Amino acid sequence: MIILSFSTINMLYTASHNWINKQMGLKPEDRPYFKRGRAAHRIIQDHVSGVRLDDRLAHINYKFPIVETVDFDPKCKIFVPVDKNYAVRGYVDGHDPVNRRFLEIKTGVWSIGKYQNSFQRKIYSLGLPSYTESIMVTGEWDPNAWKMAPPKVYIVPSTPKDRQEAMDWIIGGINIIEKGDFSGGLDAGGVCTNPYCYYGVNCHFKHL
Amino acid sequence: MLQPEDLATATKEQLVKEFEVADNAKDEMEAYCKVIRDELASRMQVNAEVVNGFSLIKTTKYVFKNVTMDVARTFGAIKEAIDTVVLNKIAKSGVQIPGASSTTYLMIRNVTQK
Repeated sequence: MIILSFSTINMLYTASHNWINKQMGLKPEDRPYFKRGRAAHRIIQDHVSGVRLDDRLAHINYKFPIVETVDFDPKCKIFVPVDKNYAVRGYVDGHDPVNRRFLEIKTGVWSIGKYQNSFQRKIYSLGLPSYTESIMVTGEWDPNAWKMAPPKVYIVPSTPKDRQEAMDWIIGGINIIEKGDFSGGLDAGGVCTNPYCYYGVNCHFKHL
Repeated sequence: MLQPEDLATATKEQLVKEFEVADNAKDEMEAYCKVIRDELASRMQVNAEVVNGFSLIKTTKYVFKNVTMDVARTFGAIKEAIDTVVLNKIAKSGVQIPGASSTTYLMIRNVTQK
């Protein structure tokens, strides 16, 4: 069975040549900004789970008893079988089974509209079919900035329409694989010239 | 409400009456919207949420009308701007101002003493 993630499916849509990079076992180029939201995530997760309260987050009234404590934490895993060949796997930042809501933390500028339209949110809603809403906490990646600009809190319901749109999007991604055309994101000569390619200098198509 | 085909044959008196009814209804609806908006805002515990397909976003708008020029200057917040009051007076006196254009529209006001 082929297990897909939101970011892999997103890559199929935006630059399908990265599917080949992935199958070749290449690693994305290590970029500092991939990691810089980690501290913010940890502080928020510790606050909402009650492990360590932070004054800068006192305005966040939602509690999540279950949060990721390690990478790919099984307590936060969602798994969506699609058919006998494919499934989707992901990890929410936290969740509350009693109140049926999950947590998503984003550092950087996220509007409620962007979050509502996010297929990552819809896939998580699909993977948690009994949950009714998600809470997004979004703010600067640097916690030192929170005193002047506290992270914002958004509530977005999880609806049957979200779940259907997620499944349609997943199937669309699978169709890209099945079609066997992975030229997305390459120029006419089959070369990757995108300076922001997810695989960066490690992209196979930069070295042809 | 008059149907589109009746508008052309209605008298001016009928049209003004229609406008009065619609204008009052608009004022009532705007006041109602404000009451609903205030009630929703009082219940918002978060910065934004989606309800029934509508996004409700708490925004803050700053008002600067009591900020003095000296205070604005200390923040580098002075800019050169066109004085439309002066230009308006000149245009009304019949002077052609390069780049200026005009539109004509109808203002309707209730002048009956209540």
